[in-house]
Amino acid sequence: MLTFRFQKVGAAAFIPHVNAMRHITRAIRRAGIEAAYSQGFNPHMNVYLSPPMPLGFESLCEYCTVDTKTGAEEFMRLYNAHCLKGMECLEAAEVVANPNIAAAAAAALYEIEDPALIGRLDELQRGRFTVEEKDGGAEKDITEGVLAIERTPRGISALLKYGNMGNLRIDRFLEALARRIPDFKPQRVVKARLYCCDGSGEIIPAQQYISKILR
Amino acid sequence: MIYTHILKKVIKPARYTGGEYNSCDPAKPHEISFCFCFPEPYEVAMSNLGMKILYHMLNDRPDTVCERCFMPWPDLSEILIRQDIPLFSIESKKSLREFDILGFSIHHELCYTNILHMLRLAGLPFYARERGEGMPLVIAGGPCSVNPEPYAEFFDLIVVGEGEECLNSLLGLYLEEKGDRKRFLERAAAIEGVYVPSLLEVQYSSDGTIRGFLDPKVKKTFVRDLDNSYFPERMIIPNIEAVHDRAVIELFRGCSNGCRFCQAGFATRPIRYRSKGKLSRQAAKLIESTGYEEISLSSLSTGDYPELRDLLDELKPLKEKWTNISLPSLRLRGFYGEFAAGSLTFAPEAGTQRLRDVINKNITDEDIEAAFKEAFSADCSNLKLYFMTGLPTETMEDIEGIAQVALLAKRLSRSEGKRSPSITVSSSVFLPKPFTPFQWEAMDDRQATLEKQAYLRQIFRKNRIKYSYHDYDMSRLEAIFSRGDRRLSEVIVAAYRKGCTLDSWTEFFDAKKWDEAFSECGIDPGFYLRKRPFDEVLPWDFIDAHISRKYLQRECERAYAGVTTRDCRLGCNGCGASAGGCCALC
Repeated sequence: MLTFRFQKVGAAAFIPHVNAMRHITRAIRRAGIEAAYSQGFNPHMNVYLSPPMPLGFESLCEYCTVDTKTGAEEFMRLYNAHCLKGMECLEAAEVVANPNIAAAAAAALYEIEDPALIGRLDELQRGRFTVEEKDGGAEKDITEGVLAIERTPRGISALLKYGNMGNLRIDRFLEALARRIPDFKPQRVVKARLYCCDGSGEIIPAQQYISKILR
Repeated sequence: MIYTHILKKVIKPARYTGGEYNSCDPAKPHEISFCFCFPEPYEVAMSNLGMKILYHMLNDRPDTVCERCFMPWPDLSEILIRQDIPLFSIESKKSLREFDILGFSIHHELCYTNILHMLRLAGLPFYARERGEGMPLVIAGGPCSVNPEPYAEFFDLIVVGEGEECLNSLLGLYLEEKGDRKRFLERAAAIEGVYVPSLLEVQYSSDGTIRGFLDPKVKKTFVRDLDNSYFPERMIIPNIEAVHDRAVIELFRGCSNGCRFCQAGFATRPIRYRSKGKLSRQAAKLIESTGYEEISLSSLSTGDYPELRDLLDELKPLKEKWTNISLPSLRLRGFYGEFAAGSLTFAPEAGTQRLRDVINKNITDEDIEAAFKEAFSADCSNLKLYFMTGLPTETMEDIEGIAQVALLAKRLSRSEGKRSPSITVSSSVFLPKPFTPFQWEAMDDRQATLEKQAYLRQIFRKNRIKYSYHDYDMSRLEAIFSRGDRRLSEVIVAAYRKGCTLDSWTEFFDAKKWDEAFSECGIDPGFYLRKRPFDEVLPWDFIDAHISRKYLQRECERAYAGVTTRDCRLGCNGCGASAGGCCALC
C-alpha cells in the first residue's frame, strides 16, 4: 500500500472531490500501475482520499492511499507522467496499512495572501470571527474553528479545524475575514498543510502521522 | 487563471475551466482557428461521439487548432451578459468572435434556441446574412442536418451527413479563399454534403406548402471507407462526469433493421462496418490513453455486428485489466446474456405483435419472453423497457399491450430472477421524422397522448412498476421542427427573445412562450404536425440522403398493410443506399 500527497492547483482546483478520485484512478490505469480492486458486483480500484475541500480552492496537501505494490519512487515517476495537469504527486510513501486520513484529519493550515492582512495580526488574534447564517439570518460565531493565526511574508496563515472532528470551511473563514477587514481581497489562498489526530489526541502533521505506519 | 472570480460564482465551474486530459494545446502554431460549438451543456456535449472524432481529427491537422465551447448554464450566461464578457472557448478562453470558424453540432430539435443564445453571447448576429467579413464563418452539422431548414438561415453553410471527409475538404478550401467569404461559399457548395442556405431559393404555393426549390440537390456526404477513416486514439477525459463517461469504439454505421419510425436507421445508411482487428486495436489504444474503466461498443444495433462474438473474444484482455465492456443498443432477439448482469435496456417499442409489424420491429412475443428469461437468469438487476405511443394505426389495444409486456417482465423477474430486479417502463411520443417511411404521418394530438399516458400510469402504479414518459409539449415542438421549413427560423428567434433556452431541460422548457412565439409570427404549428399527402413537396426534398422516396413510400404502404420487410442482411430491399456502391450488404 502507498500513500501519496498531491496538489490540486489551477483548473484542477475546480474539480469536485468525487471526480478527483476518478481522475486519480484513471491516471493510475494510464500509467500501467498495478493496483488492487474491490471484490463484488461492481469492482473499483481501492483508493482512499483525504476529506474534501470547497471547490475552487487550491491545495498542496491532498492525500490519497492506493492499494499497490509499486514502490514510492516508481509510483511518483509513472503517475506524474500520466496524471491530469494540476494534480501531480508531490511525495509518496509505502505504508503497511491504510492510514485512513479521511478519519484522522483534524486541522488544515491555509496560507492567505493579501497585503491588507499584513500588520493586522494582533487584531485578528484578539477578536471573534463571525459569519452570516446560510439562510441569511442570524450571525454565527465560528471562532471555535480557528486554531491559530500566524503572520507570513504575504499575509497570514490560518490553522482551521478540518475533518470529521470539527470542520471550518475555508470559504466561511474568508467570509469572516471580509466582515472584519473591509478592503480584504485575497490574491491567493492555498491549503498548505494537513494535520491529523494521532491515537493520543495530539494533532501532528500528516507526514508525521503517516510515517508511523511506513513499510 | 482568467475568470477565476466568475468561476467561483457558478455551479459546476469545471464545465468551463478546460485543461482536461487529452485536450488540445491551443498555443500550437496554426493557420485556422476552429471552435467546436455544442449547443448543450458540458455533460451532454462531452458525451457526443461526433465531437470526440472531429475534435481530435481537426487537432491532428498541422494547420488547425480546434477548441470547444458549449452552452453555458444560466448562471454563467447571466454573469457574461451582466459583465459584458463575450462567450469564450474552453481551451484558451478566447472570445468566439476571434475564431476563423465556429462549427455547431446540432443533434436535437430542442437545442435551436441555444444556438441563438451562444451567438448572442459571442456578440454575433443571428442570421448569416447579417454577418460579414471580419466575423467568423458559422457552420453546422450533426444529425439534425437531415432537415436543416428551420435553422438554415442562421448558418453560412451546413454539412449534411458525416463530417470527417467533408470538413477536411472545407478547411482546405478555406485556406485557399480565406478573406473572401462569398467566393468560399460558392466554391464550398460544390463539395459533396455542403449546403449553402443562401444559395437555395424555396418557392411556396398559396396554401403554404412548398412548390419547389431553385437549386440543384444537396447530396448527403458519407465516409466511403469506414474501416480506414479517421478515428481518434485518445479522447478527452471530462473534468466532471459526463452523461456517457467512457471510451467508445464505433462498430458500424447505418442499420439493417429498417424500423419504420427510426430516422437514424435510414439517414445513416449505407451500412459500413469496421473490421474487428481495427476495432480491437482502437479499443486497446483508447483504454491505454484514457484510463477509462469502461468501453462502449457503439452502433445503432450492436448485436447486428457480424463478428461481435469474435470481437468480444479479442477484447478479453481488457476485461482482465478491470475494464467493463458495454453493449448498448442490443436488440431483443439474440442479445448476449453474459452482458445482462446489472442494467439492461430493451426497446420493444410497441405492445402488440400487430403494431410491431406495422413499425417493422421484427421481434415476436416469443423473442420478448425469451430475452426476459435470459436477462433475469443472467442476474439482470434493472430492466428498462422503452415504448412509443402514438404510432401510426395505434389503438388502445396496443397501449394495453405495453402494460402486458411490462407485466410479463414483472412475472418472469419473480420466477426466473436470482434477486428482485427493478423494472422501469419509459414511453416516448412517436414523432414522424424526415427520411423515414413515416415522414408523411401526423403526430398524435395532446388529448390522445395524455389519455394513453394516464392509462399506463394508473396500471403501472397499481403494479409497482416505475413509469416515465416524455412530455407531450416538448415532443410536439420537436415534431414541428423536425419536419419544419425555413419559415420557422423567425419562430425560433421570437421564442428566444421571450427567454426560451435549454428547451430540452424540463426545468427550463416553457410551452406557453413557444405558443406565443408561433402566434406572434402568424404561424400555425398544426400545419407542421398534420398528415401529408405522398405528392406534397417536403421541406427536405432538396436533400438526397441516398434513400429513395419511392422506397419510403412503399414501406409506408406496407406498414398500413401490416406487412414486414426483412432485415437487409437477408437480402437487399432496394432502399437506394447501395447506389453509392458502399453498402456492405449489397
